[in-house]
Amino acid sequence: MNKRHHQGKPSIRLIVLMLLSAATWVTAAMVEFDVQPQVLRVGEAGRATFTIRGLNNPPTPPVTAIQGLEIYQPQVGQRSNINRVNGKSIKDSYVTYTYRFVPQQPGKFSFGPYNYKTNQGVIAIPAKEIEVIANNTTRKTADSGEAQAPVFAELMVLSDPVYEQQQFYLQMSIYSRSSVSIDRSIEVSNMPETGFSISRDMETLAPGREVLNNEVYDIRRYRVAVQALTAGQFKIQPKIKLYVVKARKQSRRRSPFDDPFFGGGIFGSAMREPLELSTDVLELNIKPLPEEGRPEGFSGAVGTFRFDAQVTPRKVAVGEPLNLKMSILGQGNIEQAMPPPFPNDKDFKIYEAQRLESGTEPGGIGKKTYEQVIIPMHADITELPAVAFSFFNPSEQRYKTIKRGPFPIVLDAASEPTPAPVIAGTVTADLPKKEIEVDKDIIFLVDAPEQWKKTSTALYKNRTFLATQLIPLFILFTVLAIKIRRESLNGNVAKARRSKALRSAEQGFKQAEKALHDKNADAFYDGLWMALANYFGNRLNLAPGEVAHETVTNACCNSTASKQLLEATEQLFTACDHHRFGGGVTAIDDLRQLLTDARKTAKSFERIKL
Amino acid sequence: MKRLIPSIFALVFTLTSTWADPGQLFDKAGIAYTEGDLQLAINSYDELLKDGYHQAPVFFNLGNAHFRNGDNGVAIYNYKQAQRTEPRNSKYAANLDYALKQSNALSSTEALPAMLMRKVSSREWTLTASASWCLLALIGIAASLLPQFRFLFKRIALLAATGLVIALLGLYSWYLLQTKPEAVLLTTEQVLSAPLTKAKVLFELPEGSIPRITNQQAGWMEVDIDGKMGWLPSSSLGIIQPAN
Repeated sequence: MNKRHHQGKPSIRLIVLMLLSAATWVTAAMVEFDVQPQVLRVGEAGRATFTIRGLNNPPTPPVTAIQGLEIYQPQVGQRSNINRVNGKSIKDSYVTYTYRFVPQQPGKFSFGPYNYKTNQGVIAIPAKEIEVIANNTTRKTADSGEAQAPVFAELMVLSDPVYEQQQFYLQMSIYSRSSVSIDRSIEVSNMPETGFSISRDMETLAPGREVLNNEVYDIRRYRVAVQALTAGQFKIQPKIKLYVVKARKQSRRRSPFDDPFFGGGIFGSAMREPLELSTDVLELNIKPLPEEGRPEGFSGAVGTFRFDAQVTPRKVAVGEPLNLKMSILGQGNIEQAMPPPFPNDKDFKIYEAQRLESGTEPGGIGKKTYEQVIIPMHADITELPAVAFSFFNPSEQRYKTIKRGPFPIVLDAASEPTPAPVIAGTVTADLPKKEIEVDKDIIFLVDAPEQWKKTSTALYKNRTFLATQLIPLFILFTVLAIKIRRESLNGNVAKARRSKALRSAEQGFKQAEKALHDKNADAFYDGLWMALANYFGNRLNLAPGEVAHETVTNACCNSTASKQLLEATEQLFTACDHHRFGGGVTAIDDLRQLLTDARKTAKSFERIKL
Repeated sequence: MKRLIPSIFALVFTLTSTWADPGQLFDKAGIAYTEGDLQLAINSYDELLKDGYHQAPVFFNLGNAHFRNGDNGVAIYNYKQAQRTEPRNSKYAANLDYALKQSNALSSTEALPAMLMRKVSSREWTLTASASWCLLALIGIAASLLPQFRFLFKRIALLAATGLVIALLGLYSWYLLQTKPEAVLLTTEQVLSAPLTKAKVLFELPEGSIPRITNQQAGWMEVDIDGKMGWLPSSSLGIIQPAN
């Protein structure tokens, strides 16, 4: 039984599908009829086009003869396009019948109405009128008598009134006589730089034709999206640069360069001449948004919007998060449209709404989706309060509020409070921090500093501190200098002995001094000799036995030693020799003088380069 | 009369000695704060600052008093001063963050290396640099006197040199803060395109926002907050000057 039942289901589905597709096929039969241009001159060709959809091998549309128009046999075309609508691929197949016609006389003519008979029934096609004007019509207007310029531009605003923050369109129309050919490219300048946010993309609208002062004008239309940033009076007068295509004048003489190969002929016969146009000044009065009736949660959205909100899940435990998803869709300044604030912060812990998606779809419809995490804090809550999105509708000139909710929810009492989930965004209600002393929201006062200090200049700017930084460097250099000196003395005995000459003499001088004090002449002369032997031995790097007056004199012969100094040295050596070999001066004062002279001589020799 | 003059002197001395004691003034401000006399608390902390006691607890408590008083911009200014003076104190950072969130204020983002470097105060970096420098000199002396231990001294010298380089980089990070100092917006202001009252409004900065100062002209300061630049009147800004 079950098996049969399962077998039956697909067959029913198939039949239903077939019926549905047949119904779709039947209802899809459609005919569009268009005549272009709707205004033309005598002798100028036009086209009447039938576009037929939803029919296989459609019959030829019944176009009857019209007096004053010469209608030719139709051209048949078949096309098939694949369009993407809402992300789905849709095949669009149609057949076109195009009748070319040429008016023979001025007047108004009507194509149709027609009854188009198909195998599925009759489709009524409404009539289309055209106006044919004579070639020699006057170019003067009846009332003003002024000729209309061959090319001119118009600027108009497509909304009235315009409010601040409103997005609206400026439409620019370029009129050119049908006899004037204009290049496709145009440049627009002198648009306002302040007060408006102007889209960079200029949209090209369907072209048209109009008769002005009995003259046929081709019209090109463009529009640009503009947002008024502030209220006030503004004047807009854009400048338009376009190019008129003209035929090149042919010279009487034909040169070899007129050959198409050199740019003449077909490709060189036309030239582009720039033409600058300026529209009339468009005075815009941008109104401020009315204060009256402004809703509390109004965030600045101006336009036409739809608002929707959903809550998931509807059943949670206390402390568990609920997701409030809000979407704003519509035409206007969607960037300023913010999600409505959640109305209750006593019973709920509310997190900041996060933007999930934002963008503008073709046709200028913007969309924004937000998600907000809301945590119910106690079990008595039965619903999430309603959220209301407010915006200003400029076409209705009033504020509108769309309310969604309240949303009933079911809460289970949680046994323990659940920790808040970690999500990106700012927590609007912070939990108290346990590890530090808390003053409701901010941390309480701190204790006084351990030591009270007055502000001083930064340590690295303090001169005394910087000067102390040189001490280690000074010590280092001193130590290094001593070390280098020691090392140099260790390798040079003569220099080392020279450096300690005076110190070594001092020992003898002290002995002589002591002997003088003891009034011992022998000891005095021993000491004096020791001083002389030590000093000159070290100073001249001599062996102990080599020190004698002659040796010293010879060593000093090439030095800067003065004659007096050499004589004084000789006297010292002589005095020592006299005492050793036969006595000598023994008077205390003389000995003291001798010692003083010896010291002076040694010090004088220190200053002499030997 | 003879008795009165010494009494007056004694009273004046007592009063001046009482008020001159920063500890007592600090305690007095704390009591005023807890009792809800915010104005007295603010005045007392301000007096300490005027006396030159630019210490982090004074800034922090003054920030609390201003926050309670509803002056979020001034509160953030004082919290920031406290944080810059003692950069590793988590309490100062916590209150600063809270006040910034309350004001929806914006703050210039710091590059991570600079942020890490500024976790150590300029004084600490100076002392580290000085210690490293002295150590290097000592090692130089020791190495010249005890050449047999040079292999050991080399390693210590390398460590000291690294410490010196890091400390100098740390000081440089503070120096950069002086060339483009931070400032706190004391009230919500509109940032202008030029230092003129009639200049075009570029954007609005909420109270308590912390931009960097890039240029100054008479009565005006050019600010930069994460690449968005403009001019603000100097009177609306409090420049952060980390105390030493």
